[in-house]
Amino acid sequence: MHGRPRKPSKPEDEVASAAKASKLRSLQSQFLHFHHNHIYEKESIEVSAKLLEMNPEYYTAWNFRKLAVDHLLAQPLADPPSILNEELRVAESALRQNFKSYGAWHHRKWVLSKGHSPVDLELRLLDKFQKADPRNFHAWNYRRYVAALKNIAEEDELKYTTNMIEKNFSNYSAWHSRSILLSNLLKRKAKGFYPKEKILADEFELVHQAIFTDPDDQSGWFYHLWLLEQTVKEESPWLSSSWPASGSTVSPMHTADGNTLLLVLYFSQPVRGVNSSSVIVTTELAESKALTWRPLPLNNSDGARSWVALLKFPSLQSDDSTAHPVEVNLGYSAEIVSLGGSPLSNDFQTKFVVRFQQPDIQHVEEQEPIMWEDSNFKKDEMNFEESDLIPSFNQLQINKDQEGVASKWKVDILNDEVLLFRELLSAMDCKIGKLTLAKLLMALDTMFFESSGSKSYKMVYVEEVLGLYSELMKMDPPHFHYYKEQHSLALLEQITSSKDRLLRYCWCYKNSGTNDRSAVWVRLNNQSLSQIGCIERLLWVQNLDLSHNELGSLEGLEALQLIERINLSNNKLKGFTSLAPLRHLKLLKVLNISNNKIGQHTIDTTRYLCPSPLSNDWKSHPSSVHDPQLLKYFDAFLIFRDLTLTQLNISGNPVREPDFACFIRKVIPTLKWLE
Amino acid sequence: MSNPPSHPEHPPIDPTNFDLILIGTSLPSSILAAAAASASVSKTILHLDPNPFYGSLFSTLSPSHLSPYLSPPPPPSPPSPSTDYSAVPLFHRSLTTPISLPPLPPHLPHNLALDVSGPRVLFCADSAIDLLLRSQVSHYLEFKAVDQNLIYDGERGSFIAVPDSKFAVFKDKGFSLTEKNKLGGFFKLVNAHLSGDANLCISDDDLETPFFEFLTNFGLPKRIIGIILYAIALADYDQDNTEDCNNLLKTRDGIDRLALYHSSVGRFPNAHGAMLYPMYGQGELPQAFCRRAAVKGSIYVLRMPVAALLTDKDTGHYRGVRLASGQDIFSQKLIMDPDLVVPRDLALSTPANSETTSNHSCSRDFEKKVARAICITKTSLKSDSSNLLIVLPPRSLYSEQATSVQALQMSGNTAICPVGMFVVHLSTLCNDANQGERLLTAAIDALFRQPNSGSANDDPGESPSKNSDGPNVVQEEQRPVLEWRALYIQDITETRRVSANESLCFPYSSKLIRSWSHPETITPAPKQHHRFEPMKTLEVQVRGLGGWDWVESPAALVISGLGGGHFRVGVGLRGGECLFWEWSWAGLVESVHTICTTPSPDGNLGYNDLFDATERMFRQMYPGEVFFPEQAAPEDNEDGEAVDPE
Repeated sequence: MHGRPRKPSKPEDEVASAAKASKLRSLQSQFLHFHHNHIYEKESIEVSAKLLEMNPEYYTAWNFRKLAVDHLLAQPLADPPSILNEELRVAESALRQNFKSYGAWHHRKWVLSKGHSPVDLELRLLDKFQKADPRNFHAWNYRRYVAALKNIAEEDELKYTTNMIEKNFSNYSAWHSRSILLSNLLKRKAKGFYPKEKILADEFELVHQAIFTDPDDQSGWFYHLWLLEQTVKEESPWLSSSWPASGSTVSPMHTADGNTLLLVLYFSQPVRGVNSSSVIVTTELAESKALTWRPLPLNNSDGARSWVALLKFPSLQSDDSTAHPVEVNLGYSAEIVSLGGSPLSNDFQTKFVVRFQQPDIQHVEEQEPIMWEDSNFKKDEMNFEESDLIPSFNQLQINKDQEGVASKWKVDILNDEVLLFRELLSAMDCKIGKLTLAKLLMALDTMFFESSGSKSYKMVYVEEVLGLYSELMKMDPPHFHYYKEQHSLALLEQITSSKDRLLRYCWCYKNSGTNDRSAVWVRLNNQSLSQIGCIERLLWVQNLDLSHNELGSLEGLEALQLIERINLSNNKLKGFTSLAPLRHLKLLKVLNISNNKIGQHTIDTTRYLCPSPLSNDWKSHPSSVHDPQLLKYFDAFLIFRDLTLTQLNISGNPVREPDFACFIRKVIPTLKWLE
Repeated sequence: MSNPPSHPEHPPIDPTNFDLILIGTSLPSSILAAAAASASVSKTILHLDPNPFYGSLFSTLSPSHLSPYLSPPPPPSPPSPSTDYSAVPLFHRSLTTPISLPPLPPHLPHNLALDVSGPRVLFCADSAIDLLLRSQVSHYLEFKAVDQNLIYDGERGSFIAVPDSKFAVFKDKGFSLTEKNKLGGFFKLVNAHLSGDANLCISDDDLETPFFEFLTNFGLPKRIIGIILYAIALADYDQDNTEDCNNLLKTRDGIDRLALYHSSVGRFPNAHGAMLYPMYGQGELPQAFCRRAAVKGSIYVLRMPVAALLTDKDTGHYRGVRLASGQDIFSQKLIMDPDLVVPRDLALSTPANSETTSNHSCSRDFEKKVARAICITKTSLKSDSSNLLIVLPPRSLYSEQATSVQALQMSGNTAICPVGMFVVHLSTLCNDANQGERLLTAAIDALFRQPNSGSANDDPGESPSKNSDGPNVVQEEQRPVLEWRALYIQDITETRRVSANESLCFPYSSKLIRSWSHPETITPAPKQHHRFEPMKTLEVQVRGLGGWDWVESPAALVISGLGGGHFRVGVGLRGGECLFWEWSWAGLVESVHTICTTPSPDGNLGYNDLFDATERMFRQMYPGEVFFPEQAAPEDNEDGEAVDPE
């Protein structure tokens, strides 16, 4: 069934196929006549059967037969079993013609759903099909359907996959079916499938046999990746980070609406149900009852990792220098759940202090444009270490005791796996083995953190992981970008792993003061990053330099709500739509996107994923329809209309027509410096 | 011409002239009869056998027939004088020597079918299977699959299942992950090599190295190497000892055998495993070929010994045979089983060769022997399977064990014995009877329990129960009780294979004219000997030269024309020795083409060498003929039907 080379057709084959085509055409026109006139007679049904036996891919004919069956069943003297048996026969002979025909399998399912057909026959038929081609995923899908209909225990079906895998372990469909069955069994903690760690250990053992016997066969590796995910993943989400950080002292901002304080919650996985009743903010000063929590990005109303709210303080109290404690509690209500429906793992609480500052200290107008050259940044005079400018790590108050016990088996499994794959790699060079090892080591590095509850990640393996990804980039160029992304994420894990490490990337700008958080510049330039990660540990950042990297997307950046100045120059941003995350950064003042590839392609392919002139977004700006400039730069308009930039550098991009500058000035009236 | 005396037991055979007479119904003779009968110019054939059954050394016999057959026969009666022809007496020599042939105890059933030719199987992807299908002999046969292939681990006294594919490797619980990885990798390498992709092929240099070395260099663990060498490639001799090894398997041959094994697995959907065994015993094979020949018009006469060969009084050429009944029958050609001795003068009676006949060595002191044993038990060697092959590799039984022992257990479902009984055939190559007896006795002790002793304290060193820790260990209690056993030695008549543009057999008429030490005589042809004009240098592929134990590995074959229809053949040997034979072309052609002797059962588990030798004989005898021409389709069966294990 597999790995057969396609043979060029012979002349006699072509004659035969031409004859078949003409026969098909005549049948088809005959059939369409019946279909359009809703004729469900014996003759018309026979024509459709003939047609389908020749060409099982003809969906219209299958639909016609469904209509015909419904029609016949509605007759007063209908005999459902005989009508449906005929359908099963047609579907079977169509499947004999092409056992990968979607239409035929679907039709069979539909007939079976009518409930008049014996299911045992289906199992026998399936055995035949699965013998002919054990990897036919249609048959496997259908098998799961039939098994569910017949109430065959999932345990028995799991045994069936074991048998099939033992016959030939190079079978994606069998492994896949196994993963589905096992997920169900584990989820409902079926008898003999609890605790999870025991089952997973057995599965690892099984898949090792396949991987070691033939490391070049990918089916086992895929199952291993799935197992790894099952091992590492936490069902319950938790709060990984928040702003303001627990124990810190912050000042609200002066805005037109009064004093406001931005609250950010960042979860370990996308959650829903974050609202004023599930998150309780306790403060003596502000109105916390009616807080509106917004997910980021906005369109992800189903669930998001980051949620923001604006805490408003009633009035300016400039003389007030006392500390006002604020407490944020969540987890008491079961409203916050992951997309899979699991509630938060724990109760979370953060406490911080609000202190009001004089407006003149806080709000300094920029006198000159920010220059991003290295020479403008310095390290001396910094005493970030002593100050709490950089929020301490792992500041959440969580009772981690139980977590630690539960995770020990995970660490054990991962350690065993690491040993095993080191052994395999010592015997042979294997791309997917290196990738798996890298993933295992990375999982171990991050897992230590979760279980130990220490102040920083241990990061014992990260150097090795980075080395593995670098090797893979050289070894396997077709998947370069994937390895690059993984490398970037690992690098960011390392950079943000501890306060000390992160301090190496913190700088001061020129003569600005060092007593303010806004004076800390996090410079992650020249790291050849192609993706941004570890957002939860950068929530506090106000000035960020990501220049001279290889970023093609800014996904994740939207959660950095405090960002005021950002340098994205010399990256690989391809269009305005890739800047979309910046729209959510309400405090952004200085933006450098010079020397990217914005506007390189006349058609920005990413726009298809985003709002376009044809979407509702357009209708909300009816006035702009008649502005030719707006029409021309609509993508840019969508990004910049929400920003209140004072400084923008867009030079060195393919977009540099003079009217673009003109357009920008129109859209961003606050702009002082434009390059 | 003498009138055939009327004999009440033997009605006279009519006609009296045939194209071909065959004496003995051994498998090669039977195949040749069927092939000659199926040839495009059909031959008239008379096939005789002195025994009351088909198969000779390849027969399957009941215990009561076995012992008389293995014992030497009575001397033939002297031929009656003849006027027109010289009658040369035909001698029977027994190739088998019984060592122990006790009578079957009365409590055992006597309806057992015992194979004389030892443990033997057909590989599903064998050329032999193709031949069975092509000759339509498969219609007369049914097969059972051999369920399991095991190798004996002497250290632990346990059996290890032989992994026949990467899927078996996957399933096996006895291997560590590293071992699985290595073995899987090796199977992959072999498959890549066989796929024919030039980039993936094993280099020619590597193919010439000993297989053992190749496997070691690949980094396979020792245990796995043993499995591949002895249980899959079925090497007979210890491959570990490169200095003292009679038969070192080359990588090329090893890979070929591995490929045969691999392609055998799964060839027939209803036969799992690589090997097949014919229902009712090995004796069915010669019988099926005889039946095919009979269908094509050959005449069969059993219980008919041949008393003498008839030769032309003037030329000495072969003319016919005189039967024990006294009747004279004539034919162009004669084929004999190897247990019949060619009369000395007959084949060599062409004048050109007369001088060489005197030295003709007819003593038949064969250096190569195979020891065979037949054991009867009431329980299987392995509880979960009934038909199985066990290889006991060199040094697994004792340290001097130089050859591996193959043991094939067949159960009642092959109809060779009542259900609930098991027949185990064992065999091993040996140099002499003592060596063979010792080895087989040790193997039997390792596999079975003596009925009376109850415990195996006779040989504590090899008692496998001592360090039993795994599930596979042959526990003392698990070992089957040995109900009966027979032990005998069989001589192997070598078929000397010389592969070149054409194949030649060294006829008995060859005379060793000289052997001397001379390094330069190997290749090119000897300089000093001015009469030597090399005609062609041939690559020699001789599976041991038999009679000369100092022959190590022939290096080259030189055929030199001497003029006058004479030529010399020289074989240069490692170490600088050179052997020469002198023949005339006419004598060679005459002797090869008129009288042939078929090979005896060899020491192999498979039939391939025998089938190949038989096919070569046929081509020499009937050069223009196709060996079993492809039949026109009407009665063609699908592959699957030929094999029907259920």
